[in-house]
Amino acid sequence: MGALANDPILLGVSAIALVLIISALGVPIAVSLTAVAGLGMWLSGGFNYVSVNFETLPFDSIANYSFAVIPMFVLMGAFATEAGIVTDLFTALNRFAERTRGGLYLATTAASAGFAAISGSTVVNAAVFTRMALPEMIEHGYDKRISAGLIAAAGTFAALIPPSLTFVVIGILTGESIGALFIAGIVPGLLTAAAYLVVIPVLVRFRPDWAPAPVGTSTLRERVAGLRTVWPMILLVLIVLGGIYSGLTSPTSAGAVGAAGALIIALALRRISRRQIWQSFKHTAELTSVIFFIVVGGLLFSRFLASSGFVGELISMVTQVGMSGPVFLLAIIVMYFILGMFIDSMSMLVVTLPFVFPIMISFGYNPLWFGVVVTKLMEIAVITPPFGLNLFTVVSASERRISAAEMMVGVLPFVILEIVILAILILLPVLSTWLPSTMY
Amino acid sequence: MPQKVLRPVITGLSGALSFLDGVVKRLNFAGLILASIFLVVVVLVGAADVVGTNLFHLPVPSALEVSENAMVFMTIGGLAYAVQRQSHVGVDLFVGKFSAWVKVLATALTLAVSLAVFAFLSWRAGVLAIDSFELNEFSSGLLRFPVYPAKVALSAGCGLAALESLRQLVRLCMGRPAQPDDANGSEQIV
Repeated sequence: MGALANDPILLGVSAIALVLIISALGVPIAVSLTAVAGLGMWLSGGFNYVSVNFETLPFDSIANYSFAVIPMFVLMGAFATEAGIVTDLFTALNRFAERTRGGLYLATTAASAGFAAISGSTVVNAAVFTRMALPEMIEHGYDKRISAGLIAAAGTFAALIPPSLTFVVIGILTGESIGALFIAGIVPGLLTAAAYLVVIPVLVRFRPDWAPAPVGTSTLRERVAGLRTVWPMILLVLIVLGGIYSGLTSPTSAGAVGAAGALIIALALRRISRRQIWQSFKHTAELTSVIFFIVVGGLLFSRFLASSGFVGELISMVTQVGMSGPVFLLAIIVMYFILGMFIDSMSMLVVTLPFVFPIMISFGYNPLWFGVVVTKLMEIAVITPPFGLNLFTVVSASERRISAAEMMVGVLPFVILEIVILAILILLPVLSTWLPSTMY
Repeated sequence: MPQKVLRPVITGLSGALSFLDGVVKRLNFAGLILASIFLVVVVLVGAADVVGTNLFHLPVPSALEVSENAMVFMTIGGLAYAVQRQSHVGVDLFVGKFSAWVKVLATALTLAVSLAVFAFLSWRAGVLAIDSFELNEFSSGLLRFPVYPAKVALSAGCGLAALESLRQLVRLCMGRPAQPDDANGSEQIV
């Protein structure tokens, strides 16, 4: 015990290992983080130190207006989904893409990117499109493995395209501006969607068996008419991103206006029942408490790692061994790839960011750029076989249309594409830093 | 003979536990309703403040302070319900491969650690609430209101989550492990 308390590196490494071990036994990650943080604080600072932190930190973290951004955007996405706003977007885009081979792939990609602009959850995105697009793809003779793989991969757009829950958690854990992180994600998010839209037709050209010959039936008038149904989506995106970018509203206020706006639109279109409204509130309240608890656990754990001297010691150790920034970044990428195969991205984020982030910043890297890189790594983690979360979401939402083995084969082309995009984002930090530098 | 004597006791105990089981579940649901009400408050105050400030130069008084206090009720209200539905994010990769007995032990460990964590958080938040009440702590801003109710809510919410963990632990010990109420309950996040 004494050796542990006197050696910050040993204490920190033991704490991280203990979190992973008890989490592997089934203890929720938030509980593991909180329990180990308490134990670690007690060892390094005594009982009073634990008491003070457990008294003040949870309340200060929750009674924080910035944190309200999470429920606001979850609620907005829930109302938009219930009101069929996403379905309208998919239908409208499909009318434009149906004359191209692989048109449904393109419509799914573009609609996923659109939905990502009003939803922050990659899992919700993947689940919605599995129910909406996968049956149609299979019915029209599209390769079901590639279809499912695309839906899982395109679902991850929600992590980069704001409002992103991943960015909110990164912002809370690191103290970076959530609004600036949101804006930093726009260009990389759009770049990712554009890369899919460019690469998919190329892939389909080389593998025509992946998509049937196009059978466009809608007239120009029908296609233009379809566009009239996407105004609610455009309006919500303008309210949210326009408000944040212009500085007129904080991300939380933009979310509140977006949630109220989505409900008003849904009511005006008579597309939401009282039961659906209650379901949306219930879902949001439950999800908020789940995320809150993870964030509080992550913050307690982060405070323990910092106050025990672990982070400081680790930074000087990394500097002393002469590890350069790029080598450390490579080590982080490898670590996230390996961890991402076994644990979900949110858990990975809260366990690792408290020590990874300060080291990266000590190397002089731009925090917004690093936030984008980490988010891209989280995106890749949720589609990396064998245990990517989005893969299982698609398999379970497909109602036995696709097996896990088929899913894993189908997602591989998109994992490779995502790695290429990650490399571009690392090599060109300006893609992440330019837009925030022009903000208000 | 002892069985005859013990049977009514066991039946009575079982009935009492079933009653308490139902009470805890109702409290969890009440917490969720409270959280939803405060969610509406945060949305309304936030939206009204943006519209009022930007269109009429009339911000909602103390919008920030009201929202921040409402956030506590909103986030903590659903905590016990999430524990009941077993929605908290976990690494379930290895658990599925455990034998039945190891799974029971792992679940017992999970519930015991959860109980300890929630109870400790509840206790410390309770101390914070008492301090706030005794110090007559009020919010800053135009509208001044006491802060202790939000701190009491934090303590109560964590306490309820501890109670729910205890309920599940007792059920596990009785050989009737609690199941998540809804098959789709395991909502994932990112």
